[in-house]
Amino acid sequence: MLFRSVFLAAAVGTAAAAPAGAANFNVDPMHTSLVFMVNHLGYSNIFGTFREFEGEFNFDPAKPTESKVTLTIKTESLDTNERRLQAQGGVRGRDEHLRSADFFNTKEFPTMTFVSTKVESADGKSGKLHGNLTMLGQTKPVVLDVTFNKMAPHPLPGYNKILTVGFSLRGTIKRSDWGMKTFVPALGDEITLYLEVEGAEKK
Amino acid sequence: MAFLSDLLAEPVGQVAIVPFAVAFALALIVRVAGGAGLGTRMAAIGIGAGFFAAYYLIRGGIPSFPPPATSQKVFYVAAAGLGLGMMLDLAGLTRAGGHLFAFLLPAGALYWMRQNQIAAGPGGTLIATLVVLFLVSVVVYWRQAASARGADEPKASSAALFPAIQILVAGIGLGGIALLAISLGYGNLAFALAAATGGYLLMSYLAHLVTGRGFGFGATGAFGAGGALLALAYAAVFEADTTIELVLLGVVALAFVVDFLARPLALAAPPSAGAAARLVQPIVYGLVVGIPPAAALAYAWFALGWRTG
Repeated sequence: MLFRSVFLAAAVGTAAAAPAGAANFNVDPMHTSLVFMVNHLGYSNIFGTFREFEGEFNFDPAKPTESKVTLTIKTESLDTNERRLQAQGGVRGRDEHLRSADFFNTKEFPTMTFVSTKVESADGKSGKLHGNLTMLGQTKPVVLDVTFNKMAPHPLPGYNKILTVGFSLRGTIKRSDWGMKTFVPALGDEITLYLEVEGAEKK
Repeated sequence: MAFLSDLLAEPVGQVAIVPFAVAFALALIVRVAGGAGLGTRMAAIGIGAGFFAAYYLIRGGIPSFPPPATSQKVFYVAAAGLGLGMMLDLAGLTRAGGHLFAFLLPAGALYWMRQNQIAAGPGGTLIATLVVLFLVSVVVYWRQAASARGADEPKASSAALFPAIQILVAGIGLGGIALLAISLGYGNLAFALAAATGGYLLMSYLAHLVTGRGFGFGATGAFGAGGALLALAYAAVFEADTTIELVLLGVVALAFVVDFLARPLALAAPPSAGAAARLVQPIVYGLVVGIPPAAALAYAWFALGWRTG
């Protein structure tokens, strides 16, 4: 029953036109994923995510270049899906090591933030999001490729047709630019970012 | 050139070879250039130079100022110690200045390294930690000075090497504990400091064997090398997650207290023993003060295992 409702709602939502005008949105943590990928010794790529964050943005599909974004991420919420328990053999887990002073130093820097500075878009559907990422106490510019996926009233019952918008963002950064140099280059310096963001209009 | 660039890029080069070589060479240069007086007092500048060379290679450069992270503040605390020590020795104020700054330097360093936490309203744990670290620092500086007492006299000439031996064994202990359990970064830096101290110590030891007089340590050594060691120890304590890590760091610090026992043991050889005594005394001293760090390392290795995985 639920699956059929979702299927029908998705079909309806796709057909509906995106409403005009600017709107302010809160980042929906339930439907937003902040994923990073790092190379491990040349063998494979490790994926990780940050599970706790909050953010807001404003967006007008007619004037995408006027969009502004702020995102605050709790660094301690990182998760690389490593299954080794801290207590097992007394070995510190990978995530705990990543939280240490060797990497994210979450004790001293409990959050990292992204604040946009500029949006470039030629066609209103894709473009580049420029901003400053503050991590480990240092602020450096970052450019992300952004794709506007969809903006429409949420089709599912219980959401009260709240205006919802979604983006896909991709980019790469060098962690050493922020002073995170442990194990470079054995553990990749270049970090690939995969950000899938949904926002719900502020009421 | 390829060999050199490879060496500088490899951990063993950054952590061991470069700091050792820099300290060894600079200790000789300063001693020769400065002569028996100033040169002897300031030869320990080689330790500071070796440490900073290693820091540059390991961390990829000099940290920005003001530094946002504790690991970056370590650099500037160590630099302040070295600069202060050099000024005191150049001004001939080694003793008087040493007494004063043995209190002021740790107080200032600890405050600066925890400035944000203090401003946010320090809890009891932080206050207790800072007090303990301050007291330990005073003891370290005290034993650094006291261990070299009488080095101008032939019967105790080996004592000139004792402060550096303390730094060497404590640096190895701190490096091992940090590497195994706390932070690879701090572990590497502590080992680099130990390597730099080893380079200086080898040069001083050779001079001691040949001439009967090793290099002095002065305020340059006490606040330069000792200051760097303490800065790393502070950072390791702040980063430590478990009580056992803190206990092990405390055991390493006992190397400076064991000096009470090590010094008379090492200097027990009669003056008539001459060159043989000069050969053996520093080794005996090092073996005794090395017991606490060795015990801490052994426990960390066998009981805790490799935890920074």
